[in-house]
Amino acid sequence: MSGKARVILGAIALYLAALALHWVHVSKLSNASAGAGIKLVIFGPSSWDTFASGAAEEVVARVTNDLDARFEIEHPQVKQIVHDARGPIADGLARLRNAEAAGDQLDVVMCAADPVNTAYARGGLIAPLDALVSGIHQRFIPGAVENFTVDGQVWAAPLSAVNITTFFYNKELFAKIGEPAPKTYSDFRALVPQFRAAGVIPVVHQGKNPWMWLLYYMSALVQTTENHQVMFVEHMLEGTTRFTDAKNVRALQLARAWVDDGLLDAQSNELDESTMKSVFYSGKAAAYFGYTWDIAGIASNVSFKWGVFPFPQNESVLGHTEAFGGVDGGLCLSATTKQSDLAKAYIEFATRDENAKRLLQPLRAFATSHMNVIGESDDISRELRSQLPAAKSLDWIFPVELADFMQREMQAMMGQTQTPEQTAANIQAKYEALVQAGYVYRSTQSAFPEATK
Amino acid sequence: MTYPRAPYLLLFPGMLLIGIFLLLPIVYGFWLSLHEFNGIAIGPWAGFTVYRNVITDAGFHEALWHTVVFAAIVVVGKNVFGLALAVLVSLPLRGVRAFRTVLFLPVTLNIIVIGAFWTYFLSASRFGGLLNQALSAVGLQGLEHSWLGTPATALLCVSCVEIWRWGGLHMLIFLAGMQAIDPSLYAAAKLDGANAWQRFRHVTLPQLRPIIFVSTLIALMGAFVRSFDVVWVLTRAGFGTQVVVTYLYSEAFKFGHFAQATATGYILLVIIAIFAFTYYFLSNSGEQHD
Repeated sequence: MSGKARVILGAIALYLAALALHWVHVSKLSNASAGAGIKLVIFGPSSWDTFASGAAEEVVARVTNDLDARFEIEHPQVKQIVHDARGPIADGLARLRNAEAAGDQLDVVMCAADPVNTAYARGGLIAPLDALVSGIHQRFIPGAVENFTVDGQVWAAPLSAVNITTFFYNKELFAKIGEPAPKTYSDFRALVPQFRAAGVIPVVHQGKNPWMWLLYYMSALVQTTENHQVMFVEHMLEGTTRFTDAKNVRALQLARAWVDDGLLDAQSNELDESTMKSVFYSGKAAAYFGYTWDIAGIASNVSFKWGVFPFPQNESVLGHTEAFGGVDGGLCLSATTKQSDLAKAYIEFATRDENAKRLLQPLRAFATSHMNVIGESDDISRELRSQLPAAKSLDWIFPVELADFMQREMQAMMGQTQTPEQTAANIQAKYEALVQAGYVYRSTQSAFPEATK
Repeated sequence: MTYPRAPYLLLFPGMLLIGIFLLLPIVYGFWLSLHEFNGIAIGPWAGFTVYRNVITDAGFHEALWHTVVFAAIVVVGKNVFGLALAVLVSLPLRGVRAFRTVLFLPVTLNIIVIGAFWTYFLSASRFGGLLNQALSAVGLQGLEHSWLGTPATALLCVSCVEIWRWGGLHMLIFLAGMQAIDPSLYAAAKLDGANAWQRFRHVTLPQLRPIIFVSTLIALMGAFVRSFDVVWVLTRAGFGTQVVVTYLYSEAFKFGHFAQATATGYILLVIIAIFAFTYYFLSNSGEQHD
């Protein structure tokens, strides 16, 4: 071997030895830290999955540290509680999946209701919590536990503000045309010429986010099925009712009517959330349909008087209007935790009334997951509370593949490139393809209905 | 005869890294695609069942068709646009260096910025869309359109943005090629009475042939593999712009079908290889014929 080669080989050997030494050092540090006491990891799939989510960063840190300190007093064997919440919401599922696949320590998962229903439970990423929640269900408001019930099992202990669908409107623009907030669809439709004359878009929507289009469909389906929408959807998923059924097609037609009647801007498909909001904030649009988690943003961004009203009642159908949503966050048990009892103890501790109060009050919500943590008392909060209880979101019941397809189809339908009838037929065809590929619907009924009454 | 060992020893660390971080994942990924795999646990052997599922999926067919259309527009567009820009900036004009920098600027822009700008630019007049406002201002209200929200135009618009974004890079590639052309060839052509177009057609283009090959290959691979970001920021893969990479993303990260997503990746690899080798052999045979 030449001298040069020996030098190169020597350098490589030195580099590898340094790497090995570093690894040994890191392992020792890790073992030393673990040996000092038990560590509990509270994992947030996204940066949104924290306590008091949406509050200022220092508030989140304060309430979290306060809760952890009191838990450590009650459980002195716990020496370290690590909170790891990072990344965008869209990457939350991948982050949780990757962390569990990599064998990272995860004990409690802060989880939003949507992914619990559509991915976490059926993907085996979290473990059921029936026994724990059945013992504490009296803490929660009606419908809270149901929002985390998938395939007859409960997957989270509710702990969040209540968020529901509602119309946000610019009171000043309505006052300008001399009209109050509409109660019925016909009332609203009658305002279109006046808004047009005033150079105002009646309703704007973030159509670029396809999942938001389902809100119009779901809100119409509630009315066409006479408030039996969950049962109706279950029948469609079981195959006993077709997606081309008259009630479903009617719901699609009612949704599409918003565009055809000029209420909803047909080019809303080009708008993402921030653009839609800037259109509303700047007073170019009179209203938009969204979720109440937008309240803080509206309050801090608009200079005009604003209000909320429920999805308008359509007089041509018998069902009455309902809001969707409810409690949308909770604490789940990681499927890979090796400290199941301790993780459950943390969940039980955090959801106690006195702790929930500390964690939820900074949110200044109109309602919370807890019976004894009451919401704000302003006019808007009172109006929103009058819309409760909210119905469970239907896109939590549809299999995720079908929900995704429906969103795209709705997007095309609302963009006026296909009819409601075509949309229904396409969704039926997709459903049949899923069934052919092995899809079988599983019931979403509550494990202990007494908890949700 | 003995071979010196030093070159192999020098190559070893690099090859080791390529092996660990490139070849091993490729082989492992292929092995995974032959199993039932949910992203966490590796299930039993599935053979080519997953590949069959992907190939027979209507969603995949649609995404593949969109990818081919996107690639066709983008490959031609990037080459024509890049070459045109290269010719333009090779002219002996004042301030041409600054002009080159400006033309290269889109390559350096963050995709989120590009997405925000073009979404705004192509939106409806009442949302501030400049293109529609310009059409209206010159009396072409009839052409006002939901450019990114209609299947008829969304894919074309996404392709145009991709061409605009990378045109500067292809301009540089062509410019480098043009600067390597022997000036005496132009002098000879001029003596023979060739005009500017004839010089471009009979000197520049033939001399640029190897460069066009490289540029086309880069554009082709980019169109198939690197189309995710531009599609996602402009349309979220809606309005008829679902391409194979966004389909793959949905399968893996929306639906948790990791085996299908992995198989889709390998199918895409084979498709790119077929296109690339076909193009390579066609180019080579043309060269030999010449």
